Amino acid sequence: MLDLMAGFAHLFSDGQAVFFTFLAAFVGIIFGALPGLTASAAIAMLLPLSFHLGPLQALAFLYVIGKSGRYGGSIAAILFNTPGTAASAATMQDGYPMTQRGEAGKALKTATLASIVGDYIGEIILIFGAVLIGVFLIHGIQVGPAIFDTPYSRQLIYSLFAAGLLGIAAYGAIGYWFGPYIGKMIAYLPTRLLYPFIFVTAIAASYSSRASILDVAVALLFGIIGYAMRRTEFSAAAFVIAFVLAKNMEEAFRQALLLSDNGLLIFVTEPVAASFLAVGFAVMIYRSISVMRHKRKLPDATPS
Amino acid sequence: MRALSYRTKIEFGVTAACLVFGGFFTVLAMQIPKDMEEIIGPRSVPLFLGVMMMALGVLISILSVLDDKNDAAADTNGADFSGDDDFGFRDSDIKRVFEVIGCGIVYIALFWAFGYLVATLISLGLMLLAFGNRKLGTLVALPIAGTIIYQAIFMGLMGLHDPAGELIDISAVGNFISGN
Repeated sequence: MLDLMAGFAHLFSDGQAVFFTFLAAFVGIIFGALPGLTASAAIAMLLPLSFHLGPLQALAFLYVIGKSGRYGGSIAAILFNTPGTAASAATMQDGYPMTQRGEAGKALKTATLASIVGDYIGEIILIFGAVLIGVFLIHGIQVGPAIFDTPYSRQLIYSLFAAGLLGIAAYGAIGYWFGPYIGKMIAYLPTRLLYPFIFVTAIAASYSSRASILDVAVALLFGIIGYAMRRTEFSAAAFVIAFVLAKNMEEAFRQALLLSDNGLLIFVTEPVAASFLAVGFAVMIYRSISVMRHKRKLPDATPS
Repeated sequence: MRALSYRTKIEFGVTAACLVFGGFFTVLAMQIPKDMEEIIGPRSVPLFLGVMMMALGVLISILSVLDDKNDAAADTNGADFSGDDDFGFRDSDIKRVFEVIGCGIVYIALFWAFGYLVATLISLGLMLLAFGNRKLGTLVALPIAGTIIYQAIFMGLMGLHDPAGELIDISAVGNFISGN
């Protein structure tokens, strides 16, 4: 706690670091809210700019852009049905239908509060886990357990932690009071102009990840698949979430098997794994029954 | 015998797609070397996912056929059982869908032939056309402005690799804009 207080003191003693924290909160929201652009793209684009800043200013700037950019993605998801990240794909599921019902403002405020609460909890638990490791190396900070050993690194890390907390408050305030206006500003752009730029931005972003034209072809193919999924009621959000989690799931699955003396039985004998499995199956069964009931009711309700 | 409902026909298509993709991934998974000492080795999860995709695809059709009577009733009543008019491709703007896909293919071809700058310029213009923009000023000014901005951000600021076109090399123009 004392380290954190010292971090706040260090942060507020550096006016430029505070300025870049607030600037990052705003820039991140704009990047995230523009369909086709993500927090990662914003960090990648603005990383070269951070070379001209001091370590705390640069780290705070990129760190807070990552946070506010992910939040900004929910604005695009709610207003345009276009998720920027896996997280905002889930937001889209509830948020866009609210927009269709004329409750965009309520959806945006709900998303803002949820983001603030989630981000604060994540920040407190992880402290600095989400920062690009490469950024530390660029600024001459050795990554690893020894990062807390030297007073300089320790102070920098806790100052960054403080910047993260300040950044969450900043993007929360901007999003809560001005989110609807930012959305309206973007929505004011005619779709006949907006969509071509989303298309080209998406292509440029897919090229930028590995500088490979093959990736652009893959993006195009998945655009077609995504369209077909949308028209056949496949959940694009579920697909994105599964796609993001699949690699970790496979790694964790095989690690668990390596630890197990009884093969697959580890998943039913360990209470935590068994509980999650039980909840998963319960949700699947409940959902299946609800869908079947819903199907049976509706045709009777339609006029003949 | 009554004809199948529109929804069931579409679900058959979904099943076919699941079988094709699932089969493709299953074949790929089978090529992963098998670890003889482990029951569950490196190929197990990919293989499981491929087979599951095919099995669930078939399940979609089975459930759809079992529920076809209700779907047919909904067809007759002019309403989808889900209440969602967006299901299927009857209301799709197929022309625009193909135009967008075409723009993507043109982008890839132009990128190969002339490089990033020309591909972005032409594709942006074509996309503006596809989305109904007909003013000459818009069709000329926006692609030029947009291309300069994209070139400056992605190649200049982000330092992305900007390969020369295979047919005509105009990378000097791109380098001038991006400041490289």
